[in-house]
Amino acid sequence: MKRLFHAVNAVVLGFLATLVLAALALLVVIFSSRESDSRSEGLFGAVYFAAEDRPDGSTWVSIGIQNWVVLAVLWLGFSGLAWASIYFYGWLSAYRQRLADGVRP
Amino acid sequence: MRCANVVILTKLFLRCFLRTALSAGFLRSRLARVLLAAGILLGLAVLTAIGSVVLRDMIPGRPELLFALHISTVPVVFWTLVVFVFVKVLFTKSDGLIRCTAILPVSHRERSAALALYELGMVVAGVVGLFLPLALASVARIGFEALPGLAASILLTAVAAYLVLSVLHNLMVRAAEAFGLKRLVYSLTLSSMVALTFWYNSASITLVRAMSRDYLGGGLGFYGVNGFPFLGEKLGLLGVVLVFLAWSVLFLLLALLTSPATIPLSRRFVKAFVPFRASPLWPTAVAIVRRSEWWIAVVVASFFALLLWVRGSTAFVLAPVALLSQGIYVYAVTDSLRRMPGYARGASVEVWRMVAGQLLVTVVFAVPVALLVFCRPQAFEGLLLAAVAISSGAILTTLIAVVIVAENDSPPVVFFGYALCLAVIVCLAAMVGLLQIATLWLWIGSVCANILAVVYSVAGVKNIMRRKRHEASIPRR
Repeated sequence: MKRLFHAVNAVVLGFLATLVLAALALLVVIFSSRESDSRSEGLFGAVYFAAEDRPDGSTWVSIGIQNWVVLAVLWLGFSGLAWASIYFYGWLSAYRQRLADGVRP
Repeated sequence: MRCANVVILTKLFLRCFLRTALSAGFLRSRLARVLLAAGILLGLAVLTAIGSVVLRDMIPGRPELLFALHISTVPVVFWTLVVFVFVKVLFTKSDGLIRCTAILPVSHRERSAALALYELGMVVAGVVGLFLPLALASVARIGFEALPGLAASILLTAVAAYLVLSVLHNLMVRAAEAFGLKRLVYSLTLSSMVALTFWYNSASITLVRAMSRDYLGGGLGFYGVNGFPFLGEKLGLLGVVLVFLAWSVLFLLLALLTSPATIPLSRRFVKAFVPFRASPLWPTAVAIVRRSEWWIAVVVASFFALLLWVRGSTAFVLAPVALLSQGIYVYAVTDSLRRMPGYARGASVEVWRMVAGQLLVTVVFAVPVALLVFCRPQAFEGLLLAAVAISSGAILTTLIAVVIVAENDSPPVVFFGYALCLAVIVCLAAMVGLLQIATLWLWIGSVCANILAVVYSVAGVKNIMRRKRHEASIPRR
């Protein structure tokens, strides 16, 4: 049960990290775009920003997610990293406890 | 009235507030305090830098600065209202402290004056703290010549608004006492002030629009809240100071004349009939419903529903969601039930009771509001959204109540819980909105978030139970 809970924690942390990274990447793409008629991508093509000049003089802008696979891979990667961190932290805590209890590790 | 006594009492109140705030939850840890202070300083620096960039790009000259000062008076009054309500809640919760001052050799007038000074200090510190980045950015961009304008629009507006609010509060207390509603003074005044805050918040958009229209038209009009910057343009700095002094003296005298005969103390519980005594949810429902704050939330939610109904909006069906503001107390108020023999159950049952209890008491209020839909059929679409918001809100507030337990109804802890929750929701909503995620995925995400909130609530309750068992197992010397 404890391991399952740790896995859920890792998946949630991975999701949040991916969401934050994608949003930041999109912001960077938006603010680094200098031309009005262009299409830019960020985070290995996961997010995009497109601006297009219309004949009536207006500018059409579109932003969003372009490639879900990249985001899924990032989510998996971050989840794995988070799970490893949680597992390592638990192992270190147990090791400290063993030392405190005077048990030879 | 001796000024020395007033100063000593004010210091006592401020020290009491500091100790209450610093003894709440994670703030007991010195490391957490240092990290929080560092975070505040960092946030201040970042906001000042952002403000400087915005002023550089958007405010090239004096008319633009004046416009910014006029506009800033609108949020200044709003935050003055918020801090005023917060201080009133904080003070009425500290009934032990007030009773303690009753045995000190001070007169009632000295105690009232100390209370007013303490409140004024808190309001000014809160508002100035919130607008410090704007002030620093203005000084950095425009120079020290921006200071008089800033003082008029932020400091003088906050103090003047506090004095008006204080008189208004005193008048409400007096009126309630005159009508024989002494027991309900706390609930009535606080619900009125909260309703006033929300009403002002909705009216502030109209104010900002009107000021912006004036600015584009080449002049800025008088709207009450922008009185001091407006007078600053017409009469100059000396004129503003004189008007402020006259205003202060007038309202101080009024506050003195209208100050209540006794300081109103909070009634923690309200007698209310709750049916279905045999139901397993009855104790939880009673614990929520008999709190005086619950009835304040009911008054505010009814005010919302009525206001939105009168304005012809269909959003009145969402008014019962305001009741969920009380959900943050749900763990703390049911804590005494867990000490009753035969009541304590497993963590999952505890979470179920807290969520179901909240839903039950909220639905009782929501049903009459929902019935109004038959008079305005176009609001039918909002019913589903209201149902989802209430269910989801009950789960979310239970999670906050478990993670940030409002021990002893501590207002700083409750406000911190609300602020944290709001910040997390706003950040998530902004990120999700930016990424333009499809509606279907948003619904799936919401369902998953609710399930996770329940899982974390259960884990949180288990953790609290484990901690209490551990504390109970340590022998006391």
